[in-house]
Amino acid sequence: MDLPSQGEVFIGDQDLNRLDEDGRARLRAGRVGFVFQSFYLIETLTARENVMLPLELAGVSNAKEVAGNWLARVGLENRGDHYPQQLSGGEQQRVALSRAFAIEPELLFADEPTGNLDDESSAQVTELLFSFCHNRDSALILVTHDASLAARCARRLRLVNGRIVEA
Amino acid sequence: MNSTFFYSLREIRRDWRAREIVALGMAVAISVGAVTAVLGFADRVASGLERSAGEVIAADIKLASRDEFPSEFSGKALELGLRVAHTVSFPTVIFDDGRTLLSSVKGVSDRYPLRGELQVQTVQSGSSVVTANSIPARGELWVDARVLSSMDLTLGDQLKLGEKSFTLGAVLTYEPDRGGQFFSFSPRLMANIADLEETGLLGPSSRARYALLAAGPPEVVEQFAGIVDDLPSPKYTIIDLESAQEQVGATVTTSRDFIGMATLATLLIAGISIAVASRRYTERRRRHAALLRCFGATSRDVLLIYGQTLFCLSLLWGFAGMLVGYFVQEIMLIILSEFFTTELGGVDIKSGLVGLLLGTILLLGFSLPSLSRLTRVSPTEVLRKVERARYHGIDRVWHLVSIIIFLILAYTQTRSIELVGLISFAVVGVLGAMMGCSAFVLIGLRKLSRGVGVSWRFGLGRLFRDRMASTFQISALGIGLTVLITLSLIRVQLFESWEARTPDDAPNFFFANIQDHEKNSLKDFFSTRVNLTPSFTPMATGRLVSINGAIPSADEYPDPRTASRIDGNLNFSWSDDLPQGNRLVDGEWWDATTTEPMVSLALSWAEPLRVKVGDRIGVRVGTEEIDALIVNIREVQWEDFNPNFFVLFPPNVFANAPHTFLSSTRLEGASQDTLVSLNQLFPTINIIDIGVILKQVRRLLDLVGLTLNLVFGFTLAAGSVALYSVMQSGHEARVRDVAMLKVLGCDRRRIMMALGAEFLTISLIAGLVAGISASMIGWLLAAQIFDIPYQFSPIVLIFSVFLSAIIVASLSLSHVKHALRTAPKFALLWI
Repeated sequence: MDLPSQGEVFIGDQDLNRLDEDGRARLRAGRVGFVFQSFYLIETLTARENVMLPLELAGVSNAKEVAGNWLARVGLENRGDHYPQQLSGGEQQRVALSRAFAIEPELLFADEPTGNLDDESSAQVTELLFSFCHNRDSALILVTHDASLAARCARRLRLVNGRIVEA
Repeated sequence: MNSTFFYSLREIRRDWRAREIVALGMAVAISVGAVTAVLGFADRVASGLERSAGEVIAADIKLASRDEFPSEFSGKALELGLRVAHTVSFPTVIFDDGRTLLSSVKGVSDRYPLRGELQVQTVQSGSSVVTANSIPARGELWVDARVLSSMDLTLGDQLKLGEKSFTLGAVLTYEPDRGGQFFSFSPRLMANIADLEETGLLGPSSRARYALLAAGPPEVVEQFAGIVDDLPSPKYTIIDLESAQEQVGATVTTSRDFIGMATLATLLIAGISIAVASRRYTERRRRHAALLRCFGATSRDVLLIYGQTLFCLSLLWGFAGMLVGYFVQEIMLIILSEFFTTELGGVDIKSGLVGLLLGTILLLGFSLPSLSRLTRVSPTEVLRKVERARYHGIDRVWHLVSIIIFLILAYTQTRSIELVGLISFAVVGVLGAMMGCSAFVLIGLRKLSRGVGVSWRFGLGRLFRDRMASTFQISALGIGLTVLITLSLIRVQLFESWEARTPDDAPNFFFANIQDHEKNSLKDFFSTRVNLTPSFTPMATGRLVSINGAIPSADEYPDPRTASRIDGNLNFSWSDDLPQGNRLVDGEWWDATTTEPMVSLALSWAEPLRVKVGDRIGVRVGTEEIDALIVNIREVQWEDFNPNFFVLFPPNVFANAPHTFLSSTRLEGASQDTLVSLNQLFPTINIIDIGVILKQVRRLLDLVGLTLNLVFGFTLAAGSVALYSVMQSGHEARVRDVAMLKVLGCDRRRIMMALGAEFLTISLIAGLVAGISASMIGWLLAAQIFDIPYQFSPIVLIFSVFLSAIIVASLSLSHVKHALRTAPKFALLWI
């Protein structure tokens, strides 16, 4: 999504500095998933269409079917035709998780994934997030202020006054 | 002062650079600028057109008499600050080297012409026509080219006029008031008025016509016309702008209707532009308004805060727009200056103030529906964002207020309920059709789009999701297009119709004062010399002596032209059939054999005299008086230059009245030389050169065409701003979604396809519906207002879709570029 002001960033063997925007987009399309604090579902598409979007971009032929399965796995099988505005915060974040999981990414970024959720939804989303990464052997990079959520991660880094320190 | 006002001022100070406020401000500024420029420009051009019409009499008012005007007349005019000139004209036969030619001598004083200009060819200018900066010098004659060819003379030769010898100084190619003098048919010899006394030709039997010309501000001219009534003789006729030419009058009226329509279109588009921009402004203020509600602000406070903010903004931006309007006005006039021979009105503060007032009223009127939704914002919106406010019944009332404001403004601009009614009906019809059609097409597309790719689904999804907003956007674009296409269609139709009404083979010579016994020999003359068979129209002269049995008084008719019909002579004719180019608007045509006293009147004669079918008018010819029943009213097409009469009787009613005949024909190039022989053989027949009038009318048409192009161009610019506002309104959501697509791995090509799908759908639907609507409105306007023929054409649809695509593409280019440039990381920054 962004380039470093100095230094290098690699995903696998791929140096991101050497890719243009379209190149980075193609890299994200098949290998990287995102979960945001404010969900960022596309308002003009239904829940199912939101999940289908990265699948179609990655060239998956049965995108609709796969999207339906993922929605079912997060407990939203009956909410596929609803628009984001018709869903609660927890439901929207579960759609966002389905969207991120659907392409089975090698790397999953989660930016405060439970920041906008109540306790019950937060627990549900956390469970889904970690179980998916565990089952698929995906790397999860998670940014959070929630110490209990951070505690579940294998390695923890803290950002203190602009510097990264081991927690 | 209310605390909300200070809050509004803080709101402006803090947010004046915010994108949506700048967009709204620009919409207001350009609307005010457009209105100021179009109104001011239209006023100044309309006054210019009137002055051009005034060229027909070379002044704003002309007093014509058989006798010389005493100095009191010009004294009074000069006292009032008017510019004054004198002319005298009389027919005379000139002789040179055994040749003779009946010609019309005209002496002119300094400052002539007061309106228009003289154009000449001199020895120095060769074949180029130049504008004369003065009148002929003493001892010099300016003559028509026909004088040189008929008399075998060249410039620099001497020609004797009466007892004085003159040098031929220039060929006179254009004389503004030539066409207005229907009976100055012979070739012109123009001299300095001071020389004519020395010719000895201005004796009591010279048949000289004297004229006093005056020009100046309309109100002073009117004042002068009132004052001269009290001055002693001579008996004179007043010829003012209105009575100058029926043909020119028709042109001015039609072009005024057209300029009124262009102004109306500008107002409408400005309203749409403001409605769209204010909708976006209030949508983005919802959370702010919810916060205010949380802190205890009432609905009224919210309305006041944002209403006052908009009001102050409209004044600030409106003022800037006003300056832009004046600037554009000046640019237009600089462009036009080479086409206008007369000066236009000066910069008038009125048009700017009216523009500012209209802009403010438009802004408040057209933002009311959006503002009303803002007053209903619930405090709970601080907790949960609502993207689009729900539509309430009360919104309809506010929309109604906008519509009423538009209608009132429209009426103030056009002064024609018919035109406002027609345009409003068209707007409502188009809006309904647009919204209905676009909703229908969107529903259809939605069903079809289930199997399409991600780009199309994304692009169409934006249109499907908020159908109300989408249909509004498409309709706004469609209405703009409809107005623009209607204007261009009507413009083309109008010119085609005008050209059809003044056909290329329109007569260019009238022959008047033909006696009954001369008809056959004249026929022979034409058939042998130029192979033409002329037709003859009888003409008699009488007086209007009664209307419905009562003696009419000129005082009852404030319009001097109508009053002169009561006091002056009445020329009339008779006819078996409805003359060519005439159309019955009321009543029935008569049986040609009838002897019943009945009469047919031209609409433009009957209306000002307030008579209609079923009324009676009394006409006296000599000692014979007839009280005739008005049986029909005709609309006369004056532009075809055929002999036409305001008053027509059946053939047997005035059969014994003394009368002469009129004839007309077209004579080109060398055929015109036969007029010399005709004049020698028939010295009493008056030859009237219509070619000069045709030339003037065509010149006016060119002027009108140029004016309309400029006015239309400004309306188009205003429309583009409205369409830009429509696109801008959904832009932020579009950019956010595109950034999200990039995060999810969508490349540039697919994003362009997605954006293309959205804009292509908008332009297709809007273009198609606008093309259909414009064709229907064009037909209605052509039939109801301009009375011209109209033909539906599939090219209109193709043109409409093409234009729609071009406009959408050019307006969306910056949006597409901006969306494509947005880095995916910005997806993280939106809340």
